[in-house]
Amino acid sequence: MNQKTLECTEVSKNFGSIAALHNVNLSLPEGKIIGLLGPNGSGKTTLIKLICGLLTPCEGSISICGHEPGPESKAIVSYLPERSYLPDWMTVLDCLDFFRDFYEDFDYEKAVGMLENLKVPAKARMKTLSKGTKEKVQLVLVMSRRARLYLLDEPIGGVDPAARDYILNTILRNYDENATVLISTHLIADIEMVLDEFIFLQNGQVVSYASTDSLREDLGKSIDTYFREVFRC
Amino acid sequence: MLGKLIKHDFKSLSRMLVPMQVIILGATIIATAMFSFNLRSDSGSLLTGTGFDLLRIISAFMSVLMLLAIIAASILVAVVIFYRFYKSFMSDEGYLTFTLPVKSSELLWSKLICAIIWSLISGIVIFLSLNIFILFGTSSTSFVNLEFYKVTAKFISDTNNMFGNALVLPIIEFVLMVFASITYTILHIYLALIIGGAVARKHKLAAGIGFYFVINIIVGILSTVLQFMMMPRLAANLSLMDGQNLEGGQILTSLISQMQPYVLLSLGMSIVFSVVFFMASNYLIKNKLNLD
Repeated sequence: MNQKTLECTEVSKNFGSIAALHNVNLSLPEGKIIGLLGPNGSGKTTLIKLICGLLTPCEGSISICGHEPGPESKAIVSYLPERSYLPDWMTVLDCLDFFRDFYEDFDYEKAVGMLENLKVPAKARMKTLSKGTKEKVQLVLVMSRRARLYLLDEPIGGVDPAARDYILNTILRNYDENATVLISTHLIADIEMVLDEFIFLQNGQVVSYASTDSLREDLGKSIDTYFREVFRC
Repeated sequence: MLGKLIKHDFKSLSRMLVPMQVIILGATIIATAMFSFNLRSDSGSLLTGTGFDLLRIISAFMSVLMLLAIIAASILVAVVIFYRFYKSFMSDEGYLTFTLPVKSSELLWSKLICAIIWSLISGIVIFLSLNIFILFGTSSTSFVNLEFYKVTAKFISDTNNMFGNALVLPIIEFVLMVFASITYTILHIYLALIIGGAVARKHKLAAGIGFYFVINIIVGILSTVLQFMMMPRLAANLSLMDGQNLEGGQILTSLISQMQPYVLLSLGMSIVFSVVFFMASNYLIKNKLNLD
């Protein structure tokens, strides 16, 4: 399998006169958990939105397992946005039905099991749930798919530390050898242990892309320490 | 996938619109009861006595209130349809809508089809509620009033005897026009909301309303120009008819045939503009999506 899970070639995105991403080249292999790290406003969310087809690049091209962003790529990309995107009148079970209808790779039983473990009330309407519980529901939906590429934008920001551990374990356990997980966050210390590789973004450009092991072996540093050095204010 | 989209869109609309239709029918029944009560008390065939006037005032007031409720509920149907569209395409829900593995055109088709179906349902409910009122609320002497239907039936059979097949074409055209204009209106508002969402960073809804009028003006200018070009021809044909000494039925059939180009033009324009609106909407949500 030579085909890369994600291939970004000279991708640029401007909002008016502001360049959010400039000439980004990335080639992500399958079977890795990769951190997308960078300070606020560095273009993490823009990059993720481009990959999942919510934005179109001004220049360059993106390919997910050989597909341009479109219906084919959306069927194999599981995207968790950094906001609540489920209609608030739906119950949790409605949301599960919705995902089962639209995503062939959605594992309904698995989702029900995860919701039970996280003690989410399945019959409650979304609008009655707390912000953290909503995040859990979304994460359960997204991780219950057998996707090729998971895009997790700030997945653990709003949940308590206990749920955070469960979620990270879930991500670890779900990660089979074909799938790649791209996690954007600035809570680096919390997720550092699960990352195989990391990408540093700054001002819309890739500053470094390396494996966690090589950083530890060559420089003897953790990503968190390295991040603080690179992005010192 | 289109079927699944329609299923879910229809479900999310029905959640609010079904109760609304029930309210319309319920309000109709109450208003009808109040109205017939008033009619009968006017004719003096019912109760008399003290406190009775107050009851009459209340019932009159209630029937007006119910009538207003029916009108408000039918306007609300449109509001709900476009609010759901806005939520699903422009709000945070857009993150879900636009990452579904479907084509952008399928998203639009689903929204359009559901809106047309609900417009028709709402039209049928209003028709039903009018008929309930005519049947049970317009007679002071009997429970049901069939007078209106007898007159209508006679009118239809008379017209049919007089003109016969000449009326088939205009009726078909009328039905087509109704469908075309419902579709046109829905797509007009969808496009306005989409442009508003794509252009504005804040106040997307307000921008959408603004673009509704902008589109309106552009379409207005184009159709006025086209109609102006057709007018001399129509006028010439009509003045030709003037000298022909036609009788009753013949005047109508002749008029219908003279109006044909005009009717077809306006039907054609609705269709062409609908197609343009759809394609523009599709292009924008495919390429210029601008979610918060």
